[in-house]
Order: sequence, then C-alpha cells, then structure tokens
Amino acid sequence: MAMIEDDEIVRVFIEESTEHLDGIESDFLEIEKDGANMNVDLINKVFRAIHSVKGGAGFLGLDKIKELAHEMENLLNLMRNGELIPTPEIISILLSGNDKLNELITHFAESNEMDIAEEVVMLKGATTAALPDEEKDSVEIEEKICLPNGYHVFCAKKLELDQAQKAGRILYLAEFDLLRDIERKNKTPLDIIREIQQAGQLVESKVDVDAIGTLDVLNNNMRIPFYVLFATVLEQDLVGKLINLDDSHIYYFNKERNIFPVAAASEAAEELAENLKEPEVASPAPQAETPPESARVIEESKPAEAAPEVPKKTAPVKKAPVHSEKKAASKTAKPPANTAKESHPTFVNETLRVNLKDLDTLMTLAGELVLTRNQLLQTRNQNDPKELENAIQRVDLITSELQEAIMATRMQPIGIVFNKFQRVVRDLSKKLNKKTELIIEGEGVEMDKTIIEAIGDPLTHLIRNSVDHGIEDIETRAALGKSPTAILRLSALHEAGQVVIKVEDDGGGIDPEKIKTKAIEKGFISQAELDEMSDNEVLKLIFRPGFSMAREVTEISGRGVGMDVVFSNLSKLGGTIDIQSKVNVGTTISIKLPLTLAIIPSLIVRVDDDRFALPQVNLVELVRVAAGQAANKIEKIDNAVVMRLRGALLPLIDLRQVLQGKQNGFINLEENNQATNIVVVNAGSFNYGIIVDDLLDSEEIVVKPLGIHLHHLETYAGATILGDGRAALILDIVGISKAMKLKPVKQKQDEEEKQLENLLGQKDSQSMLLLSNGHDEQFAIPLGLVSRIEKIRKEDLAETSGRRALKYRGGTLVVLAIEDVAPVKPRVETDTPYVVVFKYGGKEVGVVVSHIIDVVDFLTDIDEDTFRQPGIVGSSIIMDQITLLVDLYGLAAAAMPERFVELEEEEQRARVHKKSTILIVEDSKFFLNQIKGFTEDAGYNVVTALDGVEGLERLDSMQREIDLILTDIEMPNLDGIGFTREVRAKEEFRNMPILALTSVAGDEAEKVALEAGIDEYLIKLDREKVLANIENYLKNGRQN
Amino acid sequence: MKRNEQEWMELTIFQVADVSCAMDILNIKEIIKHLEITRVHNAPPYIRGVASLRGEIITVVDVREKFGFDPIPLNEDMRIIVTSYRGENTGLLVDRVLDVHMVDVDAMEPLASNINGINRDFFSGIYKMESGLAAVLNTEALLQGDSKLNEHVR
Repeated sequence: MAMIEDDEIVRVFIEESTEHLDGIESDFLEIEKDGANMNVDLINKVFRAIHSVKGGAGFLGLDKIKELAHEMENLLNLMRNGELIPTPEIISILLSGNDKLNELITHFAESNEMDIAEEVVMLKGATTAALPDEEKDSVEIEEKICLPNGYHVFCAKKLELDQAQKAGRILYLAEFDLLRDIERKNKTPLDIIREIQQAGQLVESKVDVDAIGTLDVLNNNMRIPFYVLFATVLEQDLVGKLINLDDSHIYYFNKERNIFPVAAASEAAEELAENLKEPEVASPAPQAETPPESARVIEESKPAEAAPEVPKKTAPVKKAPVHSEKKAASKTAKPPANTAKESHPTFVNETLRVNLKDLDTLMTLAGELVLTRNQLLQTRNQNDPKELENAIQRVDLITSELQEAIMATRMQPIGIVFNKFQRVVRDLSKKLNKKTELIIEGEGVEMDKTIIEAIGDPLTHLIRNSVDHGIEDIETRAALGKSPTAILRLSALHEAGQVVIKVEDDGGGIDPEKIKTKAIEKGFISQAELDEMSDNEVLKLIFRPGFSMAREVTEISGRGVGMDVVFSNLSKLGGTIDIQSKVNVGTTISIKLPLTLAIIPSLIVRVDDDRFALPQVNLVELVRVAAGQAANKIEKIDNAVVMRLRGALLPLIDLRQVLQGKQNGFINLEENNQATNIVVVNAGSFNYGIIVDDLLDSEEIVVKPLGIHLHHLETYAGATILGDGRAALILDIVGISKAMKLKPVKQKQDEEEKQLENLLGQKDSQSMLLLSNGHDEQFAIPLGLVSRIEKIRKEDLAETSGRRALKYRGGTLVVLAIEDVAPVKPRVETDTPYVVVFKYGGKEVGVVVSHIIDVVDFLTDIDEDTFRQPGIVGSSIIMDQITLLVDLYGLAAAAMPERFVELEEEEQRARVHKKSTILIVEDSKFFLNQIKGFTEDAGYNVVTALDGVEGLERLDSMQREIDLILTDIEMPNLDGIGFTREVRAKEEFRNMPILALTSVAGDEAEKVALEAGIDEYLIKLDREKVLANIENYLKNGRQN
Repeated sequence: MKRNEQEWMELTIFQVADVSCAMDILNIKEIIKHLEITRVHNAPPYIRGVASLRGEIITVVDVREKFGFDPIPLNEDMRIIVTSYRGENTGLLVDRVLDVHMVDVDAMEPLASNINGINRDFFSGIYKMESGLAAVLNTEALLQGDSKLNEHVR
C-alpha cells in the first residue's frame, strides 16, 4: 500500500490522531491506579483512541504507526476482555508505546523509516505472556483474507481476527467503490473508517489499486475497490444499512473463517421470515457495472448454509517482518527540522478548536461593527457632534467586546499542561524510588494559547526539580516522621487579572546555608554581601545564571541550566517567580503570569522625543523626587547610582543612558532643577528604578514582534502601535537590567545606618503617610490604616449643611477634614486635593488634605502629651519637623457622633451575641488607639492594658471572656515576651492564641518570641494581616 | 523560464544619494509616503527605525547608510519601499522614487566593479536607461544581517 499523499487527508488524520492521543496518557495512569479493579469504560476509551489511529494509519500507508498502534491495541484488548490485569509494568510498556506513537505521528512523514522495534517487542512480549498457551502463537500468525472467488485482499493477524470474533461479533469484509460509494457521496475513506469504528471494530483496510489494472477513468465500469475488514455485533441483514453499502459488496465470515456473501444470508433470512416485501437491499440494476468476478460470486453463492465454492481458510503464514520499502517521504509535508526527542506536535498548533458560541459572538460583533461604521460615515456627512460622540462610544464598546471575544477563542484550560505531569511525576518517582502523589488543582483556569504552550518547559523543570531534589526518599521521610508518600501540589488560580501557578512540595526544602556555600564557592557573591541578605533573598540566588544546586549532576536535573533558564523563560512571558522554602517542611514556588500576552496594560513613558511602553506587570511604584531634593535622595555608591527609598537602597538607571548604550552612566542631577520621575520596576529577583523624562499615560497595548534586524536587542520586548498610529517600543525590564549589569544594591552599612538599625532593634518603627494642608503644619497617618488615597478635583467635593461628601463610584463618601475636629489651621484650597480613605464603623470615610508629602519610616518616639488635642494623639519629629499624628478614629468619632453611637450600639449587640473579646496589651497610647480602632471596627470586643503586668491582671479578672491576646513586645514593667511566658505558665491559658504586634524586626527576636509561646509575629499596623490572623486563630484555635 | 522571444520585467527606479537604483516591481509590496518612523536606540546604524504599516511593525532600513553615505533628515521626497525579507515585511528608506521601466531581461548586464565605492554585492546587475545607468538592487544581500550586525550585539 503506497503512502497516500493527499495533503488534506493526512492533515486531518494527524490532527485527529493527536486529539485522540491527547488525553490517553493520563487515562493510562488512571488505569494503573485502578489496577485489578478495572474501569472497563476507561479502557474502552483508550482502546478506541488507539484503534482509530490504527485505522487511519493503515489506510494512509503509515505502516509503522499502524503496527505500533496495532500492538498496543492487542494488549488493551486483552485488558478489556478481562484477560490481563494492568500492572505498573504493563502500563509502563503502554506508556512508552504511546510516547513512540506520538513521536511517529508528529514526524509522520518519515515515520515509516523510524525504529519501533523496541516498543513492538515489549508490547508483543506482554501480549504473549498474557495469552493462554494455545493462543500464544496467534500473535505472530497471519491469515489471508480472500474473497469467495479466491482473490487475495490482504492479510490479518490471527490474534486480531480471533479477538474481533469474540463476544458475539461477526467479522465482515466490505468492498466499497472509491468513486461511487465514497467520492460521489462527498466522503473520504477516513470518514468510512470513522463510521465503522463507531459501530464496530476495524481490523484492516486497503485501497486496492492493483485491482484496477490500467487506469482508464473514462471507463464507466471501473471500480476502485476499498476493502474494509471489520467486526460488529450487527447481524447480516443490518450491516449494509450501518455502513451504507449495498449487501452485494459485503461478505461475512463464520467461526471457521469461511467467507460468505451477506446478500445471500440476508435474503435467506428474509425468506425464512416469509417477508414478501421486495428486499430494498437487493442489488439495483446499475450494479451491473460491478466487475465480473464480484458479480459472479453473488450469482453463484447459495444461501448461508451452502458450502462456499472455494475453501477460504488458508494455512497460517508466518509473518514476515514488516519492512516497508516504500518511499515514505511525502512531498506534501516538509520533514520537521528538529528530530529531537522531545516531540512538538507542530500540526496541532496550526488549528484551534473554537467554541461555536464564541464564534457566534464574533459574528454578532462583526455585524455591529459594520453598522457602526455606517453610522460613522453618516455622521461625517451630517457633521453632528453629538451623533459623532455616540458613534465613537459604540466603536469603543464594540472594540473592547471584540477584543474580549477574540481573546476568549484563544483561551485554553491550563489542565492541558498540568495533566501531562502525572506521567512525569510517576516515571521520575519510580526511577528515584520515591513515592509522590501529584495533586492538581485549578486545571480549568484558562490562559492564552501562547502562554499555555510556553509554560510547559519551565513547569516541567520545576516539577522535575521538586521530585529530584525536593522530595526525600522513603527512608529519609520515614526517619523524619513524614508520610512515605510525598505530596506535590500543582495549582492554578486567578488573582487580580493574573494567573498564579504554584508548585508546592512537602519535601526537604532548600537550605539557605547550602546556597550560601555554593554561591561563595562559585564566586557569585561575597560573604559580606551574603551576610546582609535575608533567607528569602538567598533563596532567590538560584535564579541567577549558572547556579545549579544539585550536588551531583544527575540525569534528571542539575546540568547547570536550571532555575535561571526557568526564570528567564518566565520573564519573557511577562511572568514573575517567587520561592519560599523551609528546611524539612517543603518548598513553594509561585509563578505569576498574565492571562494573555497579546494585549497588556502598560505605562507610557517619555525620554526626549521618544515614547516607550513599560509593561505594568513589571511596575512596582512611581516615585517623584522634587526639584532640589535629588541631591539628598540620590547618591553614588561604588559606581552605582542608588536612591534611598523608605530605608532601602534602590539601584537607579537613567533611561537616556540605556538608550545611548552607555553603562554606569553618571546621572547628573544637580544641574537638573526639575522634579525627577522614577519608575520603580521589578526585574524578578530585585527592584530597580528607571529615570524617565515624563510619565504620560497608561494604555492597553497590543504587543507586536520586532523584525529580524532588531531581535537581538536586549532593551526591547517588542513594539506596539500607540493611539496616534505611531510605533513605540516596549521596554524589556529584565533585559535592561542585564544590559546595564545591574545588581541588587547591598545595604551600605555606614555609621549612621548602623545606629539607625540599632535603634530599630529597640524601638518601634512605622510607615507613616505625611500630609500637609498647605501651611507649615505637618501631619502623619499610619499607612497601615489607609485603604487608599484618591486624587480628586476640587469641584467633586460637595458641601451641604456643613457636611462634605464626595460623589464617586456610584455612591457618596463622607469626607472629613482635620480642622473639623482638631484646632489646626484650615486647609488651603487646591485644585486637586487628596482624600485619604480609611474604614470606620464598617464604612469608608475620607479625610481631605491639600498635599501628600511622602511615606516615611520613622521611629515611633511619640510625645503623647504636648500636642494632645481632639483628633490628634500626639506629636513626633519627622523629617526635622514637628509632626502631628492624626487620630483617624478619634477624628471620625468626633465629626460623626451619630455613627459613633451606632457603633456603640453595635458593640452592645455584639456583646449580647457573644462576640469574641480581644485583650490588647500595648504601652503606646497612640498605637493602642489605632489597634483598638480597627479591631473594634471589625466587630470584636476589646479590652486594653498598658503593660504586661496590667495585662495579667485583666486576664485574671476576666479570664473566661478573653478569646485572644494581642501584645506589644517592647513595654515597660513587663515586656511582651515575659508576659507571654507568664500567661503560658498557667494551665488554663495553654490554648489562648497570643499574637505579637511589633515592629522589632529580625529573625532572632522572632525566634525568642516564638519560643516564649507567641503564635504569630505581626507588623503592628498592617491592618489586613492582623485582622486575618485574628480571624484565623479565633476560628481554628492555636495550631499545635 | 525563457519564453519564445523576449522576457520582460518591470523595474522601479529610485534614487539613493546620487545613485540610481532599480528593483523588480514584483519584489515590491508597496511604496509608502508617510514617514512616521520611530527611532530604535541601540540598533545598528543602518536601521532608521520602525514604522507601523496597517497594524504591523516593520523595520525600516536606511539604504543611504547601508551604502556608506551619511544619513539625511527626512524630507517630502523620501519613500519607504516595502519588500519581503525572510518572510517579514521590511522597509527600505530611499531618497526618491523616480519611475517604472519595462525592461528586456537580456538588456541587464552584470556588474563590473564597485559603484561609487558601494559594495558590489548589494547589486545584481546594471540596467542601461536612456538617462544613464541604474544598479539593480540585490535586497537579499543588502538586508542580510552581516558582520555589522554582530558588532551591535551586546
């Protein structure tokens, strides 16, 4: 049978086969899991998939594919007949067969030259072993299939024929005419095969070109026979209807495999039933065109019982090794360039199945677009600005809907990628003698096709890493008291317009010390630099190029091309990666990816006359250094320009220097008497700042690739077309950091800073929002209490009956001013005042101010007496200026007494409803107020104490009522640690959750606290986190 | 290929500095007049920039610079000739487009030596017009990422 070179048919076959084979790997694994407890439906499904591939391949002359599929099918057939129990060994054989099959299909053009001997031998071995002795031979034996007239059609395996005839199935041979029965009915032979496979089991098929002899198309009597050997449970009189073929061209076999014409059998049956109705299946007159041989067979054949004219059962023929001499290289398909082992089914990528509903939506939108265009054209003639506005709005709407709809067609579930890891994990674990259970979550999460395709490799690497290095062998796990089966969790979820993929294992974790040793060994970093890094920063070193953690280079991972490749691949996709690990507890790697690559939100920046798009995924924050401040904030350390941002040093580059191709360019800011715009971006393992001339706008951009001549430029990730039609380049944040050889700046430990750190070690420090109302008075609000800050227009602020309100987001926001309550200078009116929004009594309230100055970390050396007044809790010196600390809750309570009453009532009700009671132990009244404020706001009862001694007293006096303790660490008389020890010493408080609220950072301090019995170590005014922890502990109690 | 008597081709004649160049019209996808070119920093000097062509970003090569002349500011006469290079549309910035000539293929002559000091690899032949000579551009050679490109790979 020659290889058929019909492009279209081959393409359809390859596509379908890939689809068929797509899910069966996980099915095999499922079958393995079921073991003896077989799920026949599943086995049937796999069988059918392989079977369909075999059918098509046989027809197309893809002999190796057919042979391999055939062997797999034999084994599966035994399984579904219950003659073989799927053991892991059997499944391994099938899996490797499946791999090979996929490879063959991918490189179908040269598949006939590929070597499948190993797989075939294994499959045959498994099949033979499972067969009863008397059937063992049947694997190799072939039988000739001949027409009643003795014409030899083809050979088929005895085993297969035997299997086909089992379970009441009848074996048929159908002879289609390629022209009349197939082409003229607008079908292809593949369609026929598919039809037959739906109702029965295909054994063999062949287009008999030899039978034609000299080809004369004009000869009307010409038939091109297409023989199909198949088995089905349908009786002789029905089979013709099934395959839509005249009975005269169908033959059946009895158990001894003698061949009989179906027509005779069904006629006989009908006669027997005394059905005098004219048989519709009888050969109509035009059938006279059939070749003489066939016609003769019909005439001569007697009813079924009659002995056939020619005994058809032929002696078994030893099967000759199938070595195809055919030229398989098809002209129509180019041989794939890479013959690498990893197969990339290039064919599937070219087409995409689209949900019909999505397509309908697109159609509708296209229609609307046409209508709107007409509307636009009309408006142009009428010159009516209002109509124009309408039309523009519609275009806008349709465009975004169109964009969404088109994106939807490109979305695919991530499960496509996830599910293939079952196999990876299984094989690896087996090889390494580990037990791993892979739990997959969120496989339904959809992402753009291009991303789905691109994350496969990085994820494979991470999974392999986890199994290879992360998860311990069974013995080690047992010694550690862990369950022998490790859990590897692969999950995906949506989060803020991005997809977060997590790979979590409960293995050995990564020891930061080992990374440090390795890093020093490799000369990546100096000891001094390491000493200044947190453990998490140390972990991130593994993303640096050339860093491989494997002690020995293993087959599985550790070739020195490790996490850095993963990292750079993900960066290219606009993703970020983070790692967390605890020794002996496990490792979690989180990857954040955009939903789509095609359209991304971006910030447009300007340098000179050029505009650039900066992907918002990389954006951390925007910083504006006021004119004249630059000299203070920006400095040069070791040839690197850095900026001090909230206590940390941020490496800075000037985009202009990058564009001029200069490295380490000196930024001359002194002579610049304008404000400096800095875009703080994230380059994966660290942040840096980019100085630009101007920040223009944020825009959704469509990413376009750059041409061949510009591919190599590291600075750009692509190009886009902006609203005005001009092209603009997209900056590659990671690429720029590489080109500029940026490194995270180590903290320069000069005297001053050391002092600061010492101080930080002892005293509380807080992030404060500095504000002013246009006078010399400076105010501060703890940043943790602020929900957000809105820049508004003066006009939007409406004042009615002494109340200020802001209309926004469909509702109104009550807006207070500091001077409403506190005796401070009234606010100077500005065009664009700011509203600081916070939560009070479950509702949002705003405070209007003229200017936002900065966010600073300052030591909470609070003077709670001098400036104490309504709405102000105290004062402190921040940035060399006396700063009044605003008491947001006090302000709100004083300005809105009715809301306060409501709150009180609510509290009363809460008490009745047995709301949880929290004891807060805190010496600073300022903090006490703030914490009390937001915890009460969240609906808890609050009891307070000013130091540990008082705390203990409170606890003793109302022990039954207290459900949770929040305590400060640094306090007079008895500090938080001592207090906790005392509490824990008492039997009745063993299970009392105690959360420390502190700003004393440092691992050492945390360790001491945890040892003393504190459950959680939290940053003082991180409202969200504190509340989340309170809720968690109240719900779940202390964890161990 | 050779048909009965003569084989004709249409050549588009354009000018780069003082050199008259020609290109088979079949190799030209279009000639664009709006010159909104966005500069690409760090790119090889012969890259004038990128431009938007109906939603596609094309690279614009400055043929003057390729020939070794100094680039000049954009002016009204300049055009971008869009041609296909390795499957992607690429623009050639030329000083002006002059004419289209129907030419007998046999009238083309091979190049004897360098023209005005320009690398002769850039041309595939010479065509004699009434008004003078036109050098037929070999775009493949002109656009090839030669060693010059590598210099700029950092």
